[in-house]
Amino acid sequence: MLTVDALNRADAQLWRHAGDDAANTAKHCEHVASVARDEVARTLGSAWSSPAGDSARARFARHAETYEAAAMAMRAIARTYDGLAKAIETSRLTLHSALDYASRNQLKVNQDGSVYTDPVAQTPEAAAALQDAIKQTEEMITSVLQAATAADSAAADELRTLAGLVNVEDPKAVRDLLSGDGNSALAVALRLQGGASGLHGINVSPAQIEAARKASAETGMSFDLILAIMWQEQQWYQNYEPNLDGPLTAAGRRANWAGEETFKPDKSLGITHMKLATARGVIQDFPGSFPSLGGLSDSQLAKYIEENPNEDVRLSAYYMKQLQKNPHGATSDKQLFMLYAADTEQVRDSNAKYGDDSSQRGAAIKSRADNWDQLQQGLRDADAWNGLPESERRKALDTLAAQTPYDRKVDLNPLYSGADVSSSTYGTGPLPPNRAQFPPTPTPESPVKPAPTVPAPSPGPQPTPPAK
Amino acid sequence: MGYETRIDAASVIRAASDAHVATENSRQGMLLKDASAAGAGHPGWKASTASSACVTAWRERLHREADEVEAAAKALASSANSYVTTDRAVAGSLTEDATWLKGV
Repeated sequence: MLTVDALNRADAQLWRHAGDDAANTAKHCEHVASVARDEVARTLGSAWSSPAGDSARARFARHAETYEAAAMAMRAIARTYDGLAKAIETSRLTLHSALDYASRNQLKVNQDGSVYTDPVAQTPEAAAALQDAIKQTEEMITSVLQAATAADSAAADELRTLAGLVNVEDPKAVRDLLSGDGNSALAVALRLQGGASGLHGINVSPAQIEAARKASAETGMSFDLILAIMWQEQQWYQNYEPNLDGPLTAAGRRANWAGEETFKPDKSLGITHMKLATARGVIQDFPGSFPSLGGLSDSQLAKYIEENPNEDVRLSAYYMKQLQKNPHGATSDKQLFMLYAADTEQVRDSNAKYGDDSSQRGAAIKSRADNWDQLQQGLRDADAWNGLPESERRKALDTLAAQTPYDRKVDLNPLYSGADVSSSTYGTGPLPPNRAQFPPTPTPESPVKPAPTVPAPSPGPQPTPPAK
Repeated sequence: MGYETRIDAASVIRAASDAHVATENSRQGMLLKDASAAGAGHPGWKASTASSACVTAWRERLHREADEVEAAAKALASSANSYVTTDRAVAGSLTEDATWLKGV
């Protein structure tokens, strides 16, 4: 979530100027498109009758189309900037009003919008009135921070989609995409193509993704929170065997189990890295949900966790439900994500004090908090992609394939893929056009016919995608 | 080839010049400097990071596109000029076999 400072320092005017800049760029694109189509291509149509003249005319007509596509994208970028400017103006007005009120009443405001005051001796009535003022101010500030954060996320998604449009030169595809609500399959695919920089995927099979979905429905914990735990806590062997079905997985499981049995009794187990004592506590707290596990010995339970990844996912979801029973420092998914690693008084106090603001945290918790922040975009994109009908995913992939040379692959790499979720295909487009090769200008003394130096594109047969 | 070459070289050269001028003039209007400044001025905002990446991507695309139009305009003018300065029959053969414009 945006901090108070980030919103307070935001400058709507900068985004307004950015909007004017993009709109101005759109005008230039439209002008070049108009010249290419209405002056050059049209002139060539009447003034140069030959195959070369026809090719030249087609080439400038194509430039007109790509500039038109660029103009449409620029106008969409301008709209996004303007929308963000408007959201900032509205949010800052409310924020300033709340901050003024807080200042007049000696209230202090944390970066996450929480409000407090230094303790002073006062009558019970005054104390009650103060608590009421704190509550109202806090609600106003957190509400405006949430609204600004939502506007920021929406603008970021739009801009990421529009950045992806640089690779789409077909005006019809651009027009179709821009006429939608920004969450069409192609829009999501373009965002995925932009990539979640440097993040590895959630290295599990679709069966564990489905287990996470079921655990979410069963416990009420958010699906993305469970996935984030699976991402953060993955075992080393999952990098090589995400399907958990190879020799490295078997070796890793044996090592964990043997370690827990011998030299390291508090060894973390399974794909969500759960300690035996933690699992034992969850099973005791939710006996009806794990009826067959209560009677297992430590050795049997450790082996069970290692060999049943779907149950491991369930245990983790229930563990976070358990963490939530004490609301102190456990009021958001991000706070639960941090507590999962270290449910200590210090972490809970810091969660309560700093909320979801990562900048105030230190050491391993800071790194974990940053990981959470970085994961959110990729999770949101993967959720959107997995939530689409397969037919729409295929259609979006086909559109991208047509824009991709046939010797390249389109690979969206969502953070996770459920069963039967397509996310890659082979390009079907032509190789990039040859750069302009200028024929040497002949002279009357040496009318030598030049030989083509660069062969014309000659696409071979399209590769056949491998059978599933 | 069953295709009689007919060219109004002066018109073609004028059209090529129009394309060159339009592209050249547009370059300064496509720098997206204010868009870039807005992104840089909002640390901590997701839109800032996304905007910077978007501006970079579009600057590159528009720059590349302008380069291609200018190259095509230059080649167009060059080919048309060849009609003016050389024997028309030879020039016709030359331009019909030219490959540079066929990379569409």
